[in-house]
Amino acid sequence: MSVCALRTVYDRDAPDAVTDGGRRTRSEGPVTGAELLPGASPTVAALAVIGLVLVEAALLYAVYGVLEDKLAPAVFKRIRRV
Amino acid sequence: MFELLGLSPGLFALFVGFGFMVGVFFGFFGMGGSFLVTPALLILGYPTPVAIGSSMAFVFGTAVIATLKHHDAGQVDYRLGALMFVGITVGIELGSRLVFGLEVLGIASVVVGVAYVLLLAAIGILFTRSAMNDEAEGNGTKEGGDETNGGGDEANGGGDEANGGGDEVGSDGAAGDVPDEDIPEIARKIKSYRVPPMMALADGSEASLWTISGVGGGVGLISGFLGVGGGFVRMPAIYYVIGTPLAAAVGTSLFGGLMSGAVGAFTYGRAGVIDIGIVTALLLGSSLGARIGSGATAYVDEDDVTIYFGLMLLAASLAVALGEVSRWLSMPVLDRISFVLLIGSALFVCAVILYHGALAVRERRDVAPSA
Repeated sequence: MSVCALRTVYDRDAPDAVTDGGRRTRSEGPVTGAELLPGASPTVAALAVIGLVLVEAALLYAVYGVLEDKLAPAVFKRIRRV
Repeated sequence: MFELLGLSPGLFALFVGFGFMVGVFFGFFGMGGSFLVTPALLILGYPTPVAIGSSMAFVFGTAVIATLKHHDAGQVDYRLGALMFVGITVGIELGSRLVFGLEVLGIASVVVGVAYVLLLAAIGILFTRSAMNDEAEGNGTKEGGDETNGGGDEANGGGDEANGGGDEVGSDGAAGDVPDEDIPEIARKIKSYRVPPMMALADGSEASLWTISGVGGGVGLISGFLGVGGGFVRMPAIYYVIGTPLAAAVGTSLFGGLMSGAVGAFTYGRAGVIDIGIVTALLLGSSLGARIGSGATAYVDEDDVTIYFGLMLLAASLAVALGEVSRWLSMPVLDRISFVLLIGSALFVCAVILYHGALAVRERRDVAPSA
């Protein structure tokens, strides 16, 4: 079965598709590429998702890098003292 | 109720914590993403395509972060990764076609399930035995352990050297020239068969393009067949078959994960089944975990941890087997046991890495704190 044929499985209009043992784990449905760029083609939506993940990853890498530089010496000092 | 990207705060926090754990594995071992995330999402009730697609996108994001971290330490052989990518792509295509063929015969689920169990068990045994052998060798020569532990200390030694002498290695260098004993015996034997064309690796050694393509194709085949990122196959294959130092194998495997994750994320993204909320929450945790895991390679003696990782893979094999049995016998309780086994063993190994990292930091006061 093509992956594309499964699109409706996770459609925003069918939020109850995601449940946890019968209990709903969400109320407004998932956020997918379709919500990022409404009306965009599947290829563009997929590229948007990859772009978003890439930006998130780069930002997190940079932010945690700054935090590491600022906090690591104190954390290491504390570990050595324990 | 207040929601974060479509997830309840509790679920969001759960994914952040879970992502942290997976990130530590990813950073430390260069593997451990999709074979933990996908089953967990499935057990939480997410549809299969969403579980696989979101897992792929998450693997891509985590691989980006971990690769950047290993890049900083000079532990990524980009040329090797690029050469492997061709084989990986072809292998993924062949693997997925094989699945569709088995689907027509109506035996895809059983075959894939059994293959998953056997593969995890085989790699788990390989890691456990290797760690036990290294420990046995190390006991006799503790003083010279760094030189005699075979592949055990490369991640640590390579990390230190790369951090300290990164300029010598260059941005695409892995670890500079490495002594023969830093390469596993089986890899040295494979390298001794010089089948042209020979390709130069970043560590100064050479490997046959056929070996590299074979490893890439084999890993891709398994990835496409099992629907996983394949890091748990890719990293050992690079280390044991191509014969790079362990630190370079980890870094290069992550780079391979980045490329295959991008391909997988694009494929599933086109189908609109990637849940950005899940991916974001997992990434928030994993980016911190991957940073700590990557940094830990410069401090933790891998021999202290590898055996636990091998045992975790064996536990994961058992967990997947229980999941399959649960499906055949329609016994949901086995599914829950499978989940607890999977998460519990992963949590334990994560704690072991952090514990040994803290111990190493305390013992190595002379080492610079920025890993």
